[in-house]
Amino acid sequence: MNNFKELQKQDEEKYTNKVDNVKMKIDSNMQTLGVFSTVIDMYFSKVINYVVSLSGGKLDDNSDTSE
Amino acid sequence: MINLLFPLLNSDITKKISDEELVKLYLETHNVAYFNIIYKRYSGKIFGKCISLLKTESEAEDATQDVMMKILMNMAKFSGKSRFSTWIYSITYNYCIDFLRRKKKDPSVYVADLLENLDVEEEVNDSFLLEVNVGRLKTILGEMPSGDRTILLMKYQDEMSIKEIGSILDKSESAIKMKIKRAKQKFRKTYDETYKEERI
Repeated sequence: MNNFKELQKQDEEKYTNKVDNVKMKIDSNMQTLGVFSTVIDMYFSKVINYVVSLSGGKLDDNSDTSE
Repeated sequence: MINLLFPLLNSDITKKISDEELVKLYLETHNVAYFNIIYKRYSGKIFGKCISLLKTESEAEDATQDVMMKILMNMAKFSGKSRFSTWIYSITYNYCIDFLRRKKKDPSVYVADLLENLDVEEEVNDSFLLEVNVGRLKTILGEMPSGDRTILLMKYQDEMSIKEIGSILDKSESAIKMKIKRAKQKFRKTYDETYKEERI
C-alpha cells in the first residue's frame, strides 16, 4: 500500500462518525422520498381521473376505483 | 446502530460480492441493503476526498451526502465501461470542483496555468512522492492548490489512468501529463519550503 492509500485509510478511520451521520441523513431522505412516491402512487391516478372528468371526458371502465 | 444501518455487513458473503454485482443486484431488486454495502465501502473514501478538497468538515459532510444521493439516483447510468470506483470518484471530483468553482474559493481549479515557470525545473520522480511519510504527505497536500492536489490524488491514490483523468477534467491526455508534471514539481517545491530547515 503506497503512502497516498495509507493516507486515505487513515482518513477513513478518522471520519467514521461523520460518515455515520451522513448515512442517517441519507436514510431520512430516502424515507421521505419513499413516502412521497407512495403518496403519488396512491393518488396520482385519482387526480388524473378527476381532471379527465372535469374536462368532460369519460373515465375508463377498467380503471381502478376501489381506493 | 451500525448494524441497523448496514444490515448485511456481518455476512462474509457480502464481502466477496464485487461492486458491479452489487450495482446489478440493487438495480434488479431496489433492496437498500445492497446500497448500504456500497455506502460502507466508499463513503469514508468519498468523505476523505471531499475534506481534502473542500477543507471544512461541514462542507465535506454535505458534499458526501449529495454525492451519495447522486450515486443512488444515477446507479442505472453506470455502464460498466470503467471500474465502479472510478465512476464514483469521478462524480466526487466533479462535485467538489463545481463546488469550488461556485464558491471561487480556489481559482487554481479553473484557471489552468497559474503556476510559475515550473516546467523549466527538472522532472520529479514518482519515488519522491511515494516515499514521503504519511504525516508529511498530508501536510504538503494541504498546502497545495486544489487543482494540483486533485490531480495527484487521482493519479496516486485512485490509480486512474491518464485517459480517465482526462475524461473527468475534460482535458486532453497531453494536457493531463503536463498538469501531473507541474503538480509534482509544485509538491517538491512545497516540500522543500516546508521542511528546508531539516535539510540544512
